[in-house]
Amino acid sequence: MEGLFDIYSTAQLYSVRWGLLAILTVFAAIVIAAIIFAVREIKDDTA
Amino acid sequence: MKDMFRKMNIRTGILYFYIHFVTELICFFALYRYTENAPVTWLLFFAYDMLAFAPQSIIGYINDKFPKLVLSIAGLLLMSLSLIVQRYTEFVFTSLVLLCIGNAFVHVNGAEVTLRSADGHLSPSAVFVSGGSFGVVSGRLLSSMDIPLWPLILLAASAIPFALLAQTYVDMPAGIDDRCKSFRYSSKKISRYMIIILAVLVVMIRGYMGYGIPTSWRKTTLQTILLFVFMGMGKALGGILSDIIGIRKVAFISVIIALPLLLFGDQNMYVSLIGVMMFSMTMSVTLAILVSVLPRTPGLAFGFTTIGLFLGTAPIFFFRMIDPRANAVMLTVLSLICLGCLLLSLEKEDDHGRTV
Repeated sequence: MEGLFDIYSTAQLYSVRWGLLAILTVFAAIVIAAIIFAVREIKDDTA
Repeated sequence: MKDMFRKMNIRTGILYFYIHFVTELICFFALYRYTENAPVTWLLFFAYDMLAFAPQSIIGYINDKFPKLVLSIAGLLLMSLSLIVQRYTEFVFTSLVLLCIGNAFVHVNGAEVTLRSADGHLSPSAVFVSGGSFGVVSGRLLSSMDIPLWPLILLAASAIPFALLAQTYVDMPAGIDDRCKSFRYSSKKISRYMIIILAVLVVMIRGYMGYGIPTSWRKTTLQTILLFVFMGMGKALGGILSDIIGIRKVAFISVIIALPLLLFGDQNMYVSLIGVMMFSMTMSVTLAILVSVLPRTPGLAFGFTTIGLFLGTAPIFFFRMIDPRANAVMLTVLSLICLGCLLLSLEKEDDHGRTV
């Protein structure tokens, strides 16, 4: 993993890290929403 | 044979096979064009994977609630717009987002239509998904050629009538919620939440293993094409065979018989291709399990498979197993975990291969 980031300049590294953080934050939000929808559906279907 | 395919209602699968082919062709054509001179190529691919795969759960849920929406048309238009933005402006990220959302729209609508019209059969959705492999390899090959924009936009437009026709096969008026109730493949012995976790885990493992398969034999363009063709054939075959011989048998074949073929096929293309084909058959099994657990929301169920796929492929961007022996051990262990999860999540079948 170190090698992956070694090739970047400081400015690029900064944008790569923020890019990664943004991607993973959006992903986490989507997963949480999907879980909430699934739980709601299963509860409604069981009721 | 004709009766069998009619019974499986494979028509929507064939229509969406073409739409999916066009979608992936455009996406991978555009994706390889972005990365021509980009210093952060892997980040673009990583962003593409996340933006195209993960939102399918949310978009799927929206399409579940409004099943009359033909999202595929919007998806095809967004992808065409993305190509225009990519060609004539410098806004790479805008173009990428449009491409990913367009891709997600088509996938979700394809899943929705093929699952709702399937009457519990897996063939339509499997045939739909298989079209993607052919599109991926075609897009990759075309990206190295100097192609004007209009044939690609024309290709996207050519898929619109197919999407409209496929929508007509989904009977809308009454009982929309019950359309996927015929999917009864998941086990009744364990909780639905646990089944979702197990199925997503299987998809993650499958996604990760897909990159770990040793293919030293792959050196020419023709061999790459063959790899993707066999992958696509495997995905379709998984669904068709599940409908004929039963889903548990397909789960077993796709994991246990595929494993030695994959491991010993490193130098032998023919053995490896058969292994890849069998390995790809798992796709239908996991989708069937998830739809059985979430029968009222097939779009959301499909979205869970794409979340699993992103989670499985994400580590590839950061870690790779270089030692071939360690890789073989890892593939074996992961395959056994995969089989365990599948057998736990699946309902037992009767003598005719149907779930009971």
